[in-house]
Amino acid sequence: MSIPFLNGLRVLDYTSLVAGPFCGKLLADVGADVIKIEPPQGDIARRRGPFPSDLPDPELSLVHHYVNVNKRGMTLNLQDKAGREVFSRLVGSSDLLIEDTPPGTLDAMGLGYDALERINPGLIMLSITPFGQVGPHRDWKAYNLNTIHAGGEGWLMPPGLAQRTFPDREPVKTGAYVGEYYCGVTAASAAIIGIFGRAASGRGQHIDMSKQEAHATLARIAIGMWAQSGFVETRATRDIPYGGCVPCKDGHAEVLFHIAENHWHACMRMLGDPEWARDPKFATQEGRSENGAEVNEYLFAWAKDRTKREIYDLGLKHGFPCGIFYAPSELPEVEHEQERGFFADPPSPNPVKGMTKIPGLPFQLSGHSYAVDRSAPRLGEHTDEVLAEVAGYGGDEIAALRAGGAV
Amino acid sequence: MGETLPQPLEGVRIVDFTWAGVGPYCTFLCSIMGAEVIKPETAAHPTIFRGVRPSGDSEKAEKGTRWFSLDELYVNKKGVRLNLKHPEGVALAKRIIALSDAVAENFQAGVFERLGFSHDEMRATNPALVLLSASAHGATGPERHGKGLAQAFSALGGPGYLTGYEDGPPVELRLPVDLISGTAASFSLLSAVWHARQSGEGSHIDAASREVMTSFIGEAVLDALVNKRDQPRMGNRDTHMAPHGVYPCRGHDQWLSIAVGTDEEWRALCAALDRPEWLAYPRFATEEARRAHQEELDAGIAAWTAPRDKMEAMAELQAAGVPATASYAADDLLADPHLQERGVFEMTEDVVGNPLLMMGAPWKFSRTPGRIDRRPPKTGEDDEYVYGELLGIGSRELRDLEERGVIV
Repeated sequence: MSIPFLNGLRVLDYTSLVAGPFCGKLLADVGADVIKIEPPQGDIARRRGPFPSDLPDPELSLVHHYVNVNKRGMTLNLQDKAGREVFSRLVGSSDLLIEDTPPGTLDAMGLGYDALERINPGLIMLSITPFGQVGPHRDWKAYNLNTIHAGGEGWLMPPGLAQRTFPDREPVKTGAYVGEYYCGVTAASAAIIGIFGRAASGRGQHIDMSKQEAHATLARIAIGMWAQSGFVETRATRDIPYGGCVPCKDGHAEVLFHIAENHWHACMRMLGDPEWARDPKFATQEGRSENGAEVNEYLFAWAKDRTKREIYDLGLKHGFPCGIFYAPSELPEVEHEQERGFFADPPSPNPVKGMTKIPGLPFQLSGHSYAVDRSAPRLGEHTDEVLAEVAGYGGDEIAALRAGGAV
Repeated sequence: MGETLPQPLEGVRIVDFTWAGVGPYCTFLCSIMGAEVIKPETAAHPTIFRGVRPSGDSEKAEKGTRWFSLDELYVNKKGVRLNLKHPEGVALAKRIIALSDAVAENFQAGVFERLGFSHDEMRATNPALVLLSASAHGATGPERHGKGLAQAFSALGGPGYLTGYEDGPPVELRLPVDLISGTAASFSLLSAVWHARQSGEGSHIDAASREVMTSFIGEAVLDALVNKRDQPRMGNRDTHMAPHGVYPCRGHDQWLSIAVGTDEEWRALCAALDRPEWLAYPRFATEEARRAHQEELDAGIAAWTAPRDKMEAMAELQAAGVPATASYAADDLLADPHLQERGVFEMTEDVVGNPLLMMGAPWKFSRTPGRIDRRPPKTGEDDEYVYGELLGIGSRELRDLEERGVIV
């Protein structure tokens, strides 16, 4: 591993799909020995696409190949008594357990925190569920879309041009799995705080992470507005008075000049100091805000024959916040990211044809470049190795576990 | 219970030169879990977004005026006055840094160094020091001097393109992505401090928010590389699940989200909506078939939800085993019995003594839940602790520093 921050720590990752596995990936990427434990049928991510050429194959799911890199992988049948014993033994020699089963599931199998704590008093157990371990809704079900809405951010999407175009439509979800990745990074932060906590107190603990709460944390300003002054933030009130997403020749640019006076002037310079901008009604921020729709009309007319790159370069040159709505396919080609070395080389050997790069970490360590040392594990790839090395089973015992269906 | 354990991050000291959203949220997460966060400011240039919220009986509040403040992110933090434009101010800051585990800053690339904070020099006195530089574009690369704002980096990183209605424009993400970037920064900062504690080796974390964003769409980037295509904006639709949408409820702008991911949930939905015939339709028989006939399905579901209260519909569907949640507005969150029972809302005060209700931590630790010990500091409130107790500066010298404009 190129980043050795968590060397010496062992993590059991009994999670599925995106949030929990991304947490495990982050810990693995910074040096922890992360063991991904899958049920015999495999993580559901293996049955989710996207797949190369859209041909489903449990070894080629691209979400799996992103969120499970740098981990070892094993299968374990927790429905089986011997499987549960193996799990306990693995817990005995681990620092952290991440799990995302519905509340009470592990307890019912004798593998809840109270039981595991007796095996390993220093264990940090991190449970990631839609509504948390306690409270009247703990058994409720929710997917990504549902937790976003239960957390208050769902209702506030979209702001800006999309909302102005379709003011009466239903709220729209944050794209792809962004909400789940966010829960994963929150969990990773909780995990490292748990590690510090054990060093400070000598005690492990159970960390209860509710996705609803993680999302509600993001809605904290809307919560404050309501609590403090009875103001209900909506998609419309979250809009900015002018600027934002601007349609252009080959897509969309983001142009932001509503905050500071000098940004307005910089943007007007970009527009070539147009005649209309000298109208006194645009002289103050207030006046511009009142006439925001008109400002946008001029801006959109200027932008329509220009490319997003032209607009972005001009914005950078004139010095106000701006951007390009990059499509995923454009990102690996972005010069800025190429120079920063954000995208990593694929693992060698590379199990996925055409996977020529892998997005890097949500941070860079100066002087190091992130590397994917291990591709996402094949189902059960390291079962024997983990059983022998981590759980201390001999060859005959492993054969017996296999024959009995525990692994 | 009855055990009093130290907070997880007790003994971790962070000097926080950040402002706006990303940096302050990062150090907020650390400070509510026990880290000592020292926030230098000057009265002359108060930190942006630290305004006092309108209080319950102010005129502004009565009008229900919209306001924006991130002052709550400064709870537990120690406020000290310090003028970084004065060379002695920089020297004073370095003395605090020498006693700290980490420094966080979010100046534009190069500015912190130009102020006189060379990482090499700081590490010469404190080899285990961790420096977090958080910015929109990162510390290197041709666009490193570009100005950043949440809407811009959420577009540059990729999520903006993937968010929006099928037939509409892409959507920039706002304040939440600042807080998301701050969460990611807390992970990297604390991992680096952990490493420094074990090895004695410090590091420099270069956190670019646009890269945080791209790391959240990894599978879409791999899809683009492998299959030479871009995923389209899908509105509320899912690549697998159907039904999967947001449906109107009784009242203005009231909605219910429903997602059906298994056959069991599909049967439960049909039963709850009293549409047993749907189970017999071949066009709804499989997930794939339902995806192909989503419009008809959505119309049927909307007919059920439209006359209903969103909270009652949520409870009814959940009782039947269907993943469904109301689309919560802020007032719904505060009234939610589940969130209330979990104790996620915290009460503190603002600097002028008005009650301040805020969201606490995004996690619950069973033994050391984290806590809000103190309201956001006034500028210079902790001068005595930091300059007197930590640095051992006497009151006469302190007055002298004040007079010469080092501490203002």
